[in-house]
Amino acid sequence: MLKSQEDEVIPQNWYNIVPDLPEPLPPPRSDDDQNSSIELLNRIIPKELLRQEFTFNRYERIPDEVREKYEMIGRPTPLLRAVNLEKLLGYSGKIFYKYEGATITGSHKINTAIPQAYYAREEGISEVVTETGAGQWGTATALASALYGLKSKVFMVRVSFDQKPMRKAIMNVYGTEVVPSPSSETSYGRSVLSQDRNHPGSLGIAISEAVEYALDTGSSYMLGSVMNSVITHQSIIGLETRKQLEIMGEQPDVMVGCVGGGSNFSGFVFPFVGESRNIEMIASTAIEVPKFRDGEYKYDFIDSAGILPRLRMYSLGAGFVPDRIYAGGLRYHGAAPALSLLVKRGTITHDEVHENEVIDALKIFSRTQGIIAAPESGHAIASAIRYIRSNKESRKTIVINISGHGLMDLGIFSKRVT
Amino acid sequence: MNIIPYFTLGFPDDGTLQAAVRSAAENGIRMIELGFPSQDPKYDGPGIRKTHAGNRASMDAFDPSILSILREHGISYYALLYYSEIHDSLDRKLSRLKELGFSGIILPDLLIDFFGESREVILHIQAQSLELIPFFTQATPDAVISDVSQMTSSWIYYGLQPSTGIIVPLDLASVTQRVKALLPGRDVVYGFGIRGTEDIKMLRSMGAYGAAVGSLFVKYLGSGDVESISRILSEMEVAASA
Ligand SMILES: Cc1ncc(COP(=O)(O)O)c(C=O)c1O
Repeated sequence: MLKSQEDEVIPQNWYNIVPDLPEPLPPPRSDDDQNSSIELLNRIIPKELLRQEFTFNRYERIPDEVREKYEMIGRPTPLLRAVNLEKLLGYSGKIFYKYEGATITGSHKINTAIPQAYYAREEGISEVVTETGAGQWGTATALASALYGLKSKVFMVRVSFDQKPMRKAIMNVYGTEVVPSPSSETSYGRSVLSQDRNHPGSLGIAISEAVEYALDTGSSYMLGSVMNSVITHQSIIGLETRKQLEIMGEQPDVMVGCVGGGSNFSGFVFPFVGESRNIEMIASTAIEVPKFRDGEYKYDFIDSAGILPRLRMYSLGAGFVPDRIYAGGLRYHGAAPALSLLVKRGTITHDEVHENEVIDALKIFSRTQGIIAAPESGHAIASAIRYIRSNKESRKTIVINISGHGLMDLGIFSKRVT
Repeated sequence: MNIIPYFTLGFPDDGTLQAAVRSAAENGIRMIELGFPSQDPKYDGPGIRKTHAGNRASMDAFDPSILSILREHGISYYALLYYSEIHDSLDRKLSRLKELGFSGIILPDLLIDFFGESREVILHIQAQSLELIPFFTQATPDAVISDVSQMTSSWIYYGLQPSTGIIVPLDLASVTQRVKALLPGRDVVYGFGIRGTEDIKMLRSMGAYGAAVGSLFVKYLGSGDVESISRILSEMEVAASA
C-alpha cells in the first residue's frame, strides 16, 4: 500500500508490448559458433530481469517494494497542461506535458534503475556496474544501488566526465565509483586507449567496458535503455499518462518524445499503440545522430566491442562516435528493437532536430512553463513546436514527454553553435 | 508424447548420420526434423551453427539412404530450412521436398523476416500439398499466433528460447497458459534448449505433443558417439511415455 493518494495513478503492472506487436519482434542474434552471447547474459543480468527480457507476458506485476520506491522518488510524475506555451504559439488545440524531470534524480532513468537494483538485491548480488553518457543513467543507478545497499560502479563517457564534474559529484555522494571511459581498467578500454590516448569515448565503448567488468568481477550489469525489459519498466510513464489524461477527461491525438536508446519514448507511447484511436507518435532524434533517417534497419551490436548480442534495430553502426555532446543521452547509435520495428512499419514517425532549434525550444519552454528541460527532452519540445507551427488550426491534443530536467546541462546555453 | 530428434543433413558425415538416424528409428521415434544447411543459420545457437558451418549438403546432394531408413520405419520427416534459402526458387524447392517424401516444412525465419509475404507463402506451400508447420516463439505476438494457426491444421512448433540450444530463465507455467489460450486443441511440439529427461517430464506434464531435441546431439555427432545419442533417446522415450 502506498502512503499517498497516488495509489490510483501509479499502475500495479508494467506493460510489455511484445505480444501486441503487429509482427514478431526479431530475436537477438549471436553469431559465435562456440559461445552464445545471448546465454552470456545469464552471467551478468539478474534472472528475473532476463526472464522479463524474453517474456511474452503482456503485464508484469510491479513488486510492492518497487511501487513504494517509485512513490518515494516522485511518482507519479506530473502531467500538466502547457497553457502558456499554447498562448505563445497561438495554438488552438491543447498541449500537455508529462514531466519525468520531477523525479529525485531528474529523469525517467530511475524508473528502471529501481527494479533492476531490486532484482539484483533479491538475487543476492552485491555489486552493480553500468555506463553513462550524459550522466542521467549513472545518477539513477547510483541512487537505486544506494537504496538497495549495493556497491556500484559507473563507466562514464570521457567527454561527459570532463565536462560534467557535478554529475560525477552527485554519483559520488550516493556512494558510486565513477571512472572515465575509455579507461585502463578493462582490456577493451586499454585497446581503445592504445589507439588514441585522448579518445573522447562513446556509449558503445562504455557499455563494453561495463559488461567486461561485470563478467570479470561477477557483478551485475545494469541496462540503461534499448532492452525490452527496460522499456517494460518505462511503460510506467505511458500508463500514468493514460490514467492522468483519463482523470482529466482528455485523450491524446499526438504524442512526442525524444529517442536515445528509445526507453523514455517507448515507455511513453507503447501503452497507447494498441488503442483503436489513431494517435500520431513522433520520435524526435538529434540531427547529428539521425538513426531513423540515415541509419539502416539491420542486426547490429549493442556495444562497440561486440560482447553483447546483436539486435535488429535502426543503427548508425556500433562503431559510431558522435563528435559533440550537447545532448549526450541521444548519442547512441541504435534504438530499441520494438521501437525500430514500429518506425519501420510507419506506426511511429520520426523527426530530426538541430541543436540550435533545441536550444530555442528549451528557452521557450522555460519562459512559458518554467521548466529548464534536459537537452534530450528539448528535442521533444522542438519537434512538438514544429508540429504545432505547421498545424496551428488543428485543435489536436498534443502530449510531450519531458524525459528530464536540464539543470546539470546549463553549459549548452553558453556555447551556441551556428 | 513424441520425442522428435533434429539432425542437419550432411553433418558430421554420411556414415555417422546414418547410424544416428537408424538408432533413433530403433528407439521408436515417430517423427524427425531434418535440417538443410544454411550459409547463415541466423536464429540458431552455437551447437546447431556448428552443424551448418562448411556443410555442403543440399536438397540435390545428400545421402538418400537417410530417407530410406525413415520410410522403412514409417517415420514422418519434416524439413527445417530458412525461407531465405529457398525463396528464390520456391516452386522447384517445394516440389523437390515433396518428391523426397517430406510431410511438411518448418521455416523459422518466415514470420520474422518475411512477415509481409508470409500469408501468401503459407498458401503456396499448402497448394503443393506440403504442410507448413507454424513456427512460433515467445516473441510471436498473440494475434500472429492466432492468425497463422488458423491457416493450418498441423502440429505446431513452439520455440521456448530466443535461439536453439541456449537457456535463459523462462516461466514454463505461463507458456502453458498462453498455448492453451491461443492454440486450444492444437498439438504443440516444444523445442530449443531441451537438455534432458527432466525437461521431457516437465513438457509431458504440460500436455505437450512432442519435444524437439537437436543441439544436445551435436557434440556426440561430432565425435562419432552414436551410442550416447541412442542412450539419450531411449531415456527420453521412457520419460515421454512413463
Ligand atoms: C533526460 C534524458 N532523456 C532521454 C535520454 C535518452 O535515452 P532513452 O531514449 O533511452 O530514453 C536520456 C539518456 O541518457 C536522458 O538522460
